[in-house]
Amino acid sequence: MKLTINQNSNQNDPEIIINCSYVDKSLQKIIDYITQYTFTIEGESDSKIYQLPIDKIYYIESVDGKTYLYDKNNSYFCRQSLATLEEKLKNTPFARVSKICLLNTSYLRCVEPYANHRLKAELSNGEQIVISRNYINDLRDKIKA
Amino acid sequence: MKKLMSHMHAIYTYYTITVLVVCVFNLLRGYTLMDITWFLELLLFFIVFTVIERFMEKIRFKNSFTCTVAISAAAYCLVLIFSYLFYWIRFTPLELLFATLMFLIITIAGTSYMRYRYKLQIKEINDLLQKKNS
Repeated sequence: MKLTINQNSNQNDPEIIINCSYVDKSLQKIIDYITQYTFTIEGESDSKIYQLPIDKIYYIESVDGKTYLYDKNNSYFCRQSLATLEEKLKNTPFARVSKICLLNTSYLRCVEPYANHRLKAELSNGEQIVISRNYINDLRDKIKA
Repeated sequence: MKKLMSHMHAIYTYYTITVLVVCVFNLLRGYTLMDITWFLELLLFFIVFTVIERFMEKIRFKNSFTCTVAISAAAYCLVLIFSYLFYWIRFTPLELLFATLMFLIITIAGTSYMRYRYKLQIKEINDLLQKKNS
């Protein structure tokens, strides 16, 4: 694979163009990785609407049927359902870890045992999330990918 | 279906251990015949127990030990109910002692194996994370 980087001080936003005959598995991985930096989710906090880049979101949780996005220090209300977000974030580092939570595996520091064969995930900001045993294999596959 | 599949491994592990332990106990006591329906009743037992366990998962236990004890106690009660319904044992002190002993062996063997697998899973995930972050 040939990589060319053209640096130009007149270019405002970085632009990535991929020239290829077909998109293979490894190329798809690169595309998925880049896509997450161009993808934002709308979140509300203190009556203000924010466009949150998904690589800044640590986890997404559904509480009483409402979806919340969590970054390092803040939480934002999101109008989209967890199922919709799960579908949209299929090719990103996000993995479903319980019925109510989608976790950004990029911020996952380690896992430790928790009651009833569940896991407790420690995130890089120190927060802890419970991983349901039904989703342990999904999480492992996502980290492997 | 996904939830059932996540329990499949535990079901067939415990099922196999139970069949082995019961066969050994029966041979030791001189019983060489086993009714085929018992195997189906045992399968039904594990399906019912999986459903009960699913409900118990909703309870917030203090730690893994309390959780294991509570689930084992529920399993023991269910064993007694199935024993009564399907005539697995005669309710004499000696038969009850044998049943309890078998139950303890199956529970300890099954729990130890599942715990071993669980620790392997945790180690695998942490190793992957370490590799990814380094």
